[in-house]
Amino acid sequence: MASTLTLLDHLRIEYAIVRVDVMISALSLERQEEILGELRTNLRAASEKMGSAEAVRRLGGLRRLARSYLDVEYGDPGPRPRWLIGILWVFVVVGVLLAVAFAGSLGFVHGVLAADPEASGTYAWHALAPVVRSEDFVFSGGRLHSFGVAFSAPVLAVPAVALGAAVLAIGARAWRCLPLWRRG
Amino acid sequence: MNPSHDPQLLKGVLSPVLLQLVAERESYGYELVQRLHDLGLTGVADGTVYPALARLEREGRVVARLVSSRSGPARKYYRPTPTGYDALTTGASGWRALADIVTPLFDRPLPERPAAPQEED
Repeated sequence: MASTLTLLDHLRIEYAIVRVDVMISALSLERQEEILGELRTNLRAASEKMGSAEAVRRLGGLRRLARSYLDVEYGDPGPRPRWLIGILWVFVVVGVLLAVAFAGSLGFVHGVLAADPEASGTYAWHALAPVVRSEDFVFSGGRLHSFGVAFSAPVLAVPAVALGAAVLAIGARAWRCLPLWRRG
Repeated sequence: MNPSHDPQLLKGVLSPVLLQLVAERESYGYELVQRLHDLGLTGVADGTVYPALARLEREGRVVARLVSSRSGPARKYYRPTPTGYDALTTGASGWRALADIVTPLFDRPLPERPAAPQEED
């Protein structure tokens, strides 16, 4: 029998699948694929009978569904770290830091040109020390010709990694791993 | 009018019920939901049944196989394992034993107000 599902039905089903996918990210990839594949099959079958909106509604709450799957794997009820969310937070923080650095660099360039519209030569910006030893901007006749970035010693990567780990831990709420936390 | 079924009561008996149904006929997830509704258990959310099946599979009480379907992706059909049959027997016996106690209790007439507490000797 040919499927009667519309594009909207498929989109609605896939949206529900994606939401559950995020919430069960603590499971192995293989297990996630199994669960989501089966859920997709069941949702499609239900949608053929009653429409996708009702089929999703009859799941009884995607958050509760996801938590039930996690309970099956891990046994104890309760919130768990969400590592995917933590990784997304790391990307957000890195993005914000890069945006701030870019804005600062742009400000520096504008500042040089405001001071000397016909600026020529190399101007060094040290505001990002100690991570970045200097950003060198080469001007020629009032126009930015090139720029270069000199990073500090590799040892300073350690604080950067520590910052990334902290953002990951906070974003994922890693303390939920702790037995004391999970016992409530 | 059918009385509404307490979800907490259903939760306790869902596993043996699912085992009974798959012992009668191999079924996939949504089909089991439909069969539960046909029995009159309309209050069982689909999202309660699917993880319950996952739990039964994890506990080794059911096994699943993929069967290709003409109307979409392959479906995962469940059937009991020997452990599942044992669990069904145990679950059904437990339910009957409980019902044997609780049913006569609920059949007892209720006084207009609770009796005074008995004094301890």
